[in-house]
Amino acid sequence: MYDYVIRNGFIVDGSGLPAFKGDVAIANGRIAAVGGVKGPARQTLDATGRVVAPGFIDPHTHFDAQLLWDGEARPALAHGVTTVVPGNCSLSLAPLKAVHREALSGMFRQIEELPKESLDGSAFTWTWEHFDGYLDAIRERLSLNVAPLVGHSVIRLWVMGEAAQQRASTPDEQRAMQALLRQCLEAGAVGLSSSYVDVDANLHPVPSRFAHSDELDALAAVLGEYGRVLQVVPEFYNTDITIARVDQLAELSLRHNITTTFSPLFDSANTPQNVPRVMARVREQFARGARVWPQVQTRPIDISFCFDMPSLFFAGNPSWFNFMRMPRDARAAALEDPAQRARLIAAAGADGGSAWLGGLVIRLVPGDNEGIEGRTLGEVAATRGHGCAEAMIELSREHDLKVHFLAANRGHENAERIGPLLADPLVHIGASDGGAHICSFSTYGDTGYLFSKFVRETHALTLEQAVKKITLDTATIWGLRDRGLLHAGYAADVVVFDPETIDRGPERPVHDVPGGGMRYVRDSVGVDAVFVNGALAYDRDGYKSAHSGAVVV
Amino acid sequence: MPAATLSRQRRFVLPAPGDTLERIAARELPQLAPAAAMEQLQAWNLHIFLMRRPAGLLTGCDVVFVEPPLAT
Amino acid sequence: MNEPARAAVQRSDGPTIARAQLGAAHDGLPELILGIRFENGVLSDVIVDNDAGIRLLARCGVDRIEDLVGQSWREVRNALLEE
Repeated sequence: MYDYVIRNGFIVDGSGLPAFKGDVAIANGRIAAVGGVKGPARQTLDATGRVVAPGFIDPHTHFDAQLLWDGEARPALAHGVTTVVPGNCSLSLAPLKAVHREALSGMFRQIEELPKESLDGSAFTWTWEHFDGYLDAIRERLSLNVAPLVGHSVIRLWVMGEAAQQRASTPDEQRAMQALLRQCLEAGAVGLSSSYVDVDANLHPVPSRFAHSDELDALAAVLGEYGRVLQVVPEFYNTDITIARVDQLAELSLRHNITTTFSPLFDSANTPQNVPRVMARVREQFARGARVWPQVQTRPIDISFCFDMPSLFFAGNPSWFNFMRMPRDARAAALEDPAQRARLIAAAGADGGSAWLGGLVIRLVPGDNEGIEGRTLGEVAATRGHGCAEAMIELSREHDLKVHFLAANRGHENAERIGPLLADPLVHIGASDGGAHICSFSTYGDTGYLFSKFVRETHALTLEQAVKKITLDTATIWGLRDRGLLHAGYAADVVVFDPETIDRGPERPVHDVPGGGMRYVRDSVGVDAVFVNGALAYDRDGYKSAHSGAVVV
Repeated sequence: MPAATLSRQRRFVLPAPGDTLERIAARELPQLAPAAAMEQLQAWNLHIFLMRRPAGLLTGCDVVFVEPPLAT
Repeated sequence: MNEPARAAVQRSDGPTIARAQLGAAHDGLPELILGIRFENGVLSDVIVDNDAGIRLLARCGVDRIEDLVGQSWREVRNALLEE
């Protein structure tokens, strides 16, 4: 008897081969049969008109802390993500000596924008120092799979203490780091992450940035012993440096026979040669036999700002920019002066700022009694009978300058360039940053956006190609055994979705972070059911607390 | 698979333990006076002043370009 | 452009800003994308974060991004060095 049979779906099995109509049977946490399935099942799901695919794998997340109170990594699971890779960018929550918790918390808060209370021990109990202890702390409540990276910065911090952010390591210290890395890999780490750009709460470079090349080489040698992955964050804002990092990674890949990946790689109209030049180098290195996978995100980049902080967004309009450059109190006082308000409104243009500001999205309004979050400034201005500049000023005055506005699609936004890039066989779709930058933008829903934008709208990828990119390709690059395919014997990580509607919902703020913190999320659209290791973990009625997730390598 | 030839890219060095930008400037640009070499290296490596506090702090992993950008 | 800014442009030598645009940083903040023309004639991009970009405009005495064109690379370095 099968546990589940998902009947009459279009099976997109992750291989990239054409979809076919059929059934998927699940038993004992595994795919039991694919095709025309006979025999009884305890439960049946009718998937008529729906796609049945392997669960999606997100290779670049920062869910390390969230997994301690939310084993579903909400809302990632609802988007069909069944496996996440946390611990990116040199930062994981283990191995970590108790004495270093405050230092590491500062780094996490800087990157993930988590409130202090979420990491000070009130949201969870620090029960671990070693990597296996952290895995034990998250394992019980996991409703999705976790393939955790161990962070170079924390390994360095463990071995060198404060000197980790001061100097090069000695040969003895490198040997100690190698031993510690082996311990983490034995416990279940999928690889090592490092960073060339991240900073701590004091804007001081994170420990991994103080490592000289011999240290990373020593650690890569250990990865080679285990066949595990190296992830790095390069100086992605500079093409020449990114190419230098591609070359460094290629040498490590060839010398130690390891897979390497770097993230992110962005496209921008302002730097149009960046992606072509980096990808040309990636091709050269793959041709040499190196494995250097660039991770590219699907979603565009937005700019957000509020009147509480000076922003370059206004640097095209001298009157507004000079206003924004005032000290905060002077800025607030200026807005109380009718003459100054009138000058700003006049400087916004004869149309009252409609052309310049009307398309901005109002994204965070403390209290939001009017229900205007998510609406455009133009819409709200019309409702209020104001011009756009006047509405922006009044909203900011009413909320102590803390209303946030968003200018959408200001980078990585050209679908005609991004689509072919995502489809490139040498591009690894990833870099979602799930669980990071939580107060700035939503890092959830990139998979839905892949289908809505690049499959349905621009046809840059076929449905089968898109599914393969975020299932089998990802599992193969990361060495995740028995995942990423709907084949008999593989783990039963399965997503059932409507190919005509799957998408990411609008961005919205929620206040569900321990310690009273907020974050932006996007709900899933068009996802009917998500199975993790054979258990129904999410359906249209909500999360199931299946606790069927596992630590996977 | 035949070994592919890599195209020429901008030349850089990685700091050795104990290196400073001044030492790298003296080593890589010996034909220039120390102050001029330092200025030259800074102009080619403005990223050394980015994403860190204090700005200009040379870290062990930094890429230090020893020539200007190449024509592409 | 004010007088100190004009004077700075006139005395600049070495690499100079040849292009300046507003961009979007991956953390959701705006950033400056500066095209620096180097001594060999090659244009290369330097990205400056929001806070340093605001300082750079102030240092150069300009209030439009495009008015940074012609400024010396030293102004960029010095804006980044200010904290």
